[in-house]
Amino acid sequence: MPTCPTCHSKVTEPLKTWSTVEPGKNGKILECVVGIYWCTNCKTKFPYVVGKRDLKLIENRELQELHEKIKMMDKVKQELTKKIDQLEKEKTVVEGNLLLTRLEDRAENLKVEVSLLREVKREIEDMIDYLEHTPSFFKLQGKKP
Amino acid sequence: MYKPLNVVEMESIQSLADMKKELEARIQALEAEKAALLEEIPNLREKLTVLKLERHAQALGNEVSSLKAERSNLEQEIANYTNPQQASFTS
Ligand SMILES: [Zn+2]
Repeated sequence: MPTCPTCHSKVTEPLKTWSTVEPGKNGKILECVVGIYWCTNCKTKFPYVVGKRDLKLIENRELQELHEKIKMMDKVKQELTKKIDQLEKEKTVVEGNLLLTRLEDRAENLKVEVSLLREVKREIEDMIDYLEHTPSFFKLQGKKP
Repeated sequence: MYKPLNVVEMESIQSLADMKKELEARIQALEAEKAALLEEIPNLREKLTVLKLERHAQALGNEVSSLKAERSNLEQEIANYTNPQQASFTS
């Protein structure tokens, strides 16, 4: 936002604006948008450069070529977007399968662990059963007359 | 960049989700059984140890009583030889 060079108040609306065009470096053209502002505080009128643009004069054929290039790049962009979309879907499926594989592995490991523990439990129970239901040698000997 | 999924894709995702659910349920059941077994086994081991000790104590008790009987027999025999008159009265 321009400020008044005299009292430094901010001035929002220009009285008028216009463009100036002047030759720049390397065949470029510099376009400046200049505005005339009126400070309501100290009644000063001052110019201010609102914007600058670097322009270039080019042949119609060159412009046409640029348009073609843009069109082609748009097509490439569309194809790439489609490919990315496809890859995203494939990624989702692969990730799902990977998760399933991990879960299957975990289930398999647990199955092995549980079957080992069942085996241990059965062995201990068998021993307890044996001790509880078989009279001891000494007991038998003790009962002898 | 959101695009709606087609029927095949939706079905495949559905079947993946179903399989995942099934596997998770299986894992949960196995985890529960494992936890139960890990709790039961030490208790059973404890019971087995007690039973073994009981057996051992019983065996030792029996051995001690037969040794006591043997000692008493031997003492009786010694008494017979050292006091033959008494022995003849008693026997
Ligand atoms: Zn001013």
